[in-house]
Amino acid sequence: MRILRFTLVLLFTIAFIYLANTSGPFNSQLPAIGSFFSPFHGFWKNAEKVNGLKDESFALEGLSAPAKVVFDERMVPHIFAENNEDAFFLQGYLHARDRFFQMDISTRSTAGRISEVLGAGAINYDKRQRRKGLGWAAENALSAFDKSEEEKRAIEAYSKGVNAYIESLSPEEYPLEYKILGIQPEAWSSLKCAQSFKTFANTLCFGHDDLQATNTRAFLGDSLFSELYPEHNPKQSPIIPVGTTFDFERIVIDEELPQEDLIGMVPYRSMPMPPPYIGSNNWAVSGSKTAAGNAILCNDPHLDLSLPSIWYEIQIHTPQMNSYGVSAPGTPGILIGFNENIAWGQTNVGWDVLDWYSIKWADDERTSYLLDGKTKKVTYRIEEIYVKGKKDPVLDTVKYTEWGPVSYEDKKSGYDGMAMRWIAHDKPDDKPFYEMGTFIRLMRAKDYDEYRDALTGFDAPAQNFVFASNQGDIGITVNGKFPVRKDQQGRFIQDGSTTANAWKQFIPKSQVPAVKNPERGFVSSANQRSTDDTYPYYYYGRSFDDYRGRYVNRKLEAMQGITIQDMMAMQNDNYSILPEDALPALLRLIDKADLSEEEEEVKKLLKDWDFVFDPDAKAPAVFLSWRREMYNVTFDEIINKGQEVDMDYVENWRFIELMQESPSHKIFDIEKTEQVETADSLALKTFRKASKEYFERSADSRDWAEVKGTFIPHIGNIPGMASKRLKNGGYNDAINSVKKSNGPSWRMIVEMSKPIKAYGVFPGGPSGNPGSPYYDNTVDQWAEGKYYELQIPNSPESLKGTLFTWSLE
Amino acid sequence: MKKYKLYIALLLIILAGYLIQPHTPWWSLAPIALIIVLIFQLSPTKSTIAGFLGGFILWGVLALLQDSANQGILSSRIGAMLGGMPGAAVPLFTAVLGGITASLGALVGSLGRNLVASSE
Repeated sequence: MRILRFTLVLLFTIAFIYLANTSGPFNSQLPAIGSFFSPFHGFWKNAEKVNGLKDESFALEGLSAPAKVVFDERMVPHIFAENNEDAFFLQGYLHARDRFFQMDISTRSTAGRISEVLGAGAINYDKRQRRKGLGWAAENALSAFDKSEEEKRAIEAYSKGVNAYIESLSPEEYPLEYKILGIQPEAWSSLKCAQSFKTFANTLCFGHDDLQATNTRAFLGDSLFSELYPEHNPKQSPIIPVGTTFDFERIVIDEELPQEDLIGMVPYRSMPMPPPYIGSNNWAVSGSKTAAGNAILCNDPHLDLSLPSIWYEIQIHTPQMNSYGVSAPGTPGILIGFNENIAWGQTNVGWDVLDWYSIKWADDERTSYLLDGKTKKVTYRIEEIYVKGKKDPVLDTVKYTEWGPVSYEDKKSGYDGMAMRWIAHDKPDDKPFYEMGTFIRLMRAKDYDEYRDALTGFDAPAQNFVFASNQGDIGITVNGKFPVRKDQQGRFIQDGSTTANAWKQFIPKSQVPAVKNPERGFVSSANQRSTDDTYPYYYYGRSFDDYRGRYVNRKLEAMQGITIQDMMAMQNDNYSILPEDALPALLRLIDKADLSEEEEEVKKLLKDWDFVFDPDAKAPAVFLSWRREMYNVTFDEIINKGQEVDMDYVENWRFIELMQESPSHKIFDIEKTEQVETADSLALKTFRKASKEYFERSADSRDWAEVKGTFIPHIGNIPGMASKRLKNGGYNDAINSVKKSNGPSWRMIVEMSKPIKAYGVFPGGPSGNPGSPYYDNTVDQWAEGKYYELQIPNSPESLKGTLFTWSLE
Repeated sequence: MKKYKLYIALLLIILAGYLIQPHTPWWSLAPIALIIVLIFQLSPTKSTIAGFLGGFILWGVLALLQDSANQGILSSRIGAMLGGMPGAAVPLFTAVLGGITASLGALVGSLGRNLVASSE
């Protein structure tokens, strides 16, 4: 009896310890609760003392000279180092201290290594990332960075700094997420810096619609397709002011494109793409338009919002440079910022730089393919995907052709092998420096010429780099590596058996669209088309902005005597041209209709609306649901087809134009019904539905802020680590482009006075630790449209409001 | 002296745990309690009490101290992560886990001692 009792208790104890020591027991998402709750090992160690930060002096192996880091009131670090390598070493150290999980998870995600931390559920995701060739792209980028001495040294110093921090950690000091997931941090490397940079390419220039457009054209026929999907919106107000002359000898490629004979449906689904609303605003006004006579530069990149933020604020001061701005954990340098002489910002360009080529296999085993009548062997890249909890990796063999990786293989379809040609894969041409070098040069640039020179190193993802200096210059450059295209080339899937379809040359950096000090006194971009039709090169993009750019230019055109406060108000402007265009068109269609009392009330609400997406506005929710319903019944045939195969969807501006100009167009007819529908009848039907929906909502849930429901999730979507729901305004097509969890990820305003005056805010904080008071300390300020003053002192002592200082040697 | 055995064992579990746990895995609390009840030759009931209270107090007090220095920022997030546990319950849950771990170790020790004692 005693033996039995002892044995039972012993077994129970062992089982308890075993279970409490297991991460994800019973296939749950639970951490190993024993170590997780232990006050000696677990999350309690990540509960930072509030007001517990003190001055520290310590030695860091890897620093060549003493250095100081002073942290301001918001805990933003200001690095003072004796040389650039020491500064980048410290930047790496700080990024790792505050954001290591973010760096680790985002590089693993780019390289297709998520299964290692999350398990078998992520295998398909990893395969896809690898079939995109992202790992290969990062290796190609690194081979270039390594050829440029300054970049190589910066990346190596940065990586050493990251590792100096990681190696100093004992398991109880690991970031919280490692304890939750039961994983270990792994050492950083230069390759990871390259992968981290490719994360941006994946987010910003992976967008394409060759497959969708091919399907849609096959479904609708050439004539209806070209009617519904014009290449661009004539109403757009381009980045380079209309009337700017492009004074250069363009590259001409004489060869004819072969006749397209591949039109047909592609039965398989395409890879998920970055959301279409990834966008940003930037502008600079010249001193002639400002109250103080100094140029002012503004930038707000719209990206997925997360805790921690994608951005990390930092000042880097060395004898060669003194720069402040936001950096991206995982890469050295400052991506958007300013120094004592110039300021720069970025928005995404959106030109199509990814084409799909259909492969003609030369043999049944698909080991070789045809190119210009000759047989070429594929090369193989064997991808080893390791999975958490399993010893052997999952293998995926990806075939590579001269075009790039064969991302899709599907024996059943006519498109048995589709290869990707993507600018972000390219091994860069020999140049004095590359993307990392661009940022290092911008950080120390003194004037317009040095800014333009810095951009020559930057290929992808193409960015609209805005510029202002304290010499009074402003400018903007649509900068990146762009293929010289024939008319329409790359809109649809191309025949990959002939090199006539290949990209032969690239637009020289001296011929990319750019403008300096235009007469109108401002430059701007909001992801719209870069130029008017006089630009000598053909380019195409599926997601050019139609509304923010027009509004930014309309506002700036009208403004005079601009102050910093005006610019703050403008970055937080919730007005949108989309309803300004769409709502009158919709309302006109129901003008004569007989409406109930409640419907009249809704109609009046819409009529009286000023097109501003303020938090307490009631009209936005009705307008958007009406627009959505109307869109869905108008393009029902296309949307239904989209259930089977990938389709392109008609752009909003074209939809509005059709309602305005051709309300009897056959597209409004619902084919499956007997009667013939027109825009009028559909508008009434959908308006009734939208008003009904409006009254079904409780009175306090009609406010736009409630409908929009903005909140900021944790970067790994761990529950409990997100922000609360925010009551802010904004809309996708407003300057203040706040969506549910995407929007202005950094707002910056820099006045080029002497000394410079700068303001900025992002939702989050420096720390990535959910147990830190600096994890989300700037979320409310951001939601309220307020800013912090940004300091760029010349010495550690002149920083105002120092929280604490590190003295390092 | 015999009267105070329970209290001394309890204090020793707390003290030894506090000194040894930073250098050993979390479950070291179980063998610590086991050894201490063996030394003090406590009965199974008293062992369980000493173990549970020792583990409970050690983990609970440390959790409370770290929680209050952190002003509850993390405990409320961890509570939300675990399905809506209130932040204030997180230190209590920690204490209970510490208590269970130590009491199980103590009970194993005490029952084991009885086993050996009876076979002699």
